[in-house]
Amino acid sequence: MKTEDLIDEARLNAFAETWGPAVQAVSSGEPSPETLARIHALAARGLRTRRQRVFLARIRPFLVSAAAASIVGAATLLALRTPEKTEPVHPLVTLDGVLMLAMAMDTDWEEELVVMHPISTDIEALTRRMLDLQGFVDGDTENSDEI
Amino acid sequence: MAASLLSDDEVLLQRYRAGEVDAFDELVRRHSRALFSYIRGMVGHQEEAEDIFQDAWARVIRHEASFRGGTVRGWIWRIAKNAVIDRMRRRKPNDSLDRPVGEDGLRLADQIAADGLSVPDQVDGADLGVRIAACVAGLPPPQREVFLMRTTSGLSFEEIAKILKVPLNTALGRMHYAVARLRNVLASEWRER
Repeated sequence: MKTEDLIDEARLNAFAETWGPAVQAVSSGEPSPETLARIHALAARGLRTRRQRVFLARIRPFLVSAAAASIVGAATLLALRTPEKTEPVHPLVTLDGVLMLAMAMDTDWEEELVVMHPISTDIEALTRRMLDLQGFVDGDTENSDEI
Repeated sequence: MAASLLSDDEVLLQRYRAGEVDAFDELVRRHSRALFSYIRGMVGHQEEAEDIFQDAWARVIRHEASFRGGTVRGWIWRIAKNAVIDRMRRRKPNDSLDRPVGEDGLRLADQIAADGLSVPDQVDGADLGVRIAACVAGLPPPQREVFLMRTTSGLSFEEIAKILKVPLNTALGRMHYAVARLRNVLASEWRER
C-alpha cells in the first residue's frame, strides 16, 4: 500500500470503519452520573438566567420610563422646596429698626401712659365742646350725669 | 440518518430554549459517548476528561444564543475542541507523553493508555487494545484529534475540517499520518486485516 493511496478520503474512511470499533473499544467511556447531574443543574440554571434576561428585556422600556419619571419628580420636588430669594434689607432700614428697639427699651411706659391719659381726656372734652357748639348737647343732658 | 440526527439536535436545542431542561439532557445523552471518548482520548485522564466534558457543555449552555445556523453537532464539537485546547494550554510544559512515570520504564503515554482499559485488558499487556490506546495517546495532538473525531464520533472529514477550521486536505493529511503510525505499531494485525 503506497503512502499516496492513504491520502485518499475513501481509503481513510475505510480504515476508520475497519479500525473504528477497536479504537472505540479502548477509548470509549461514559461521563459519570455526577457529571451528568452537574450538567443538568447548569442547564436548569442557564434556563433561569435566560428567563430573567427575557423578562428584563421586556420590562426595560417600563424601567426607563419609570426612571425618567422619578428623575423629573425629584427635580420638581426639589424646585418646590427651594425657598424664594428675598431682597436684602437696606442697611438704613436695619439701623432704623435698631434705633427704635433701643428707644423702646429706654422708655418708661408707665409714665408714658400717665402722660397719654390727659391727652385722651382732652380729645373727649374737645369732642364734647364741638358737639355742644353744634347744638347736639343740651345743658340738662350734660348735667344729668352729675346728678 | 445523519440529516435526521442533525434535525433532531436542532429541535432539542429549540425545545431547551423554549424552557425544557429535559430536551437538553437528551441532547447531552445523544453526544455524550462520542464526545467523551474524544475528550478522554485527547487528555488521557478520566477525571480531567470529566472536567472538560462538563466545561464544554457549560459553554454550550452559556453560548446557546450564539448558535445561528450550521449543524448543532459541529457547533458542539467545536466547543468541545476549544475546551480541550484550553485545558492542554494550561498544562505544564514539561508534562510530556514520553515522561517516565514508573520504575518499570513506563511512559506517561503508556499509563494514559492503560487508564482507559478494563481490568482484564490491563492484565494482558500484549492485548491489542493496549497497543492501540498507547499508539493513539502517543500521536501528536493535531493528528490525535482528527483520528479520534473520525473513529469515535463518525464525523466526516468535511465536518472535521470545518470544526478544526482547516482545509479538507489538512484533515486528511493528519489522518494519514495517524494511520501510518498506527500501521507501524500494529503491523501484524494490519496484515491480517
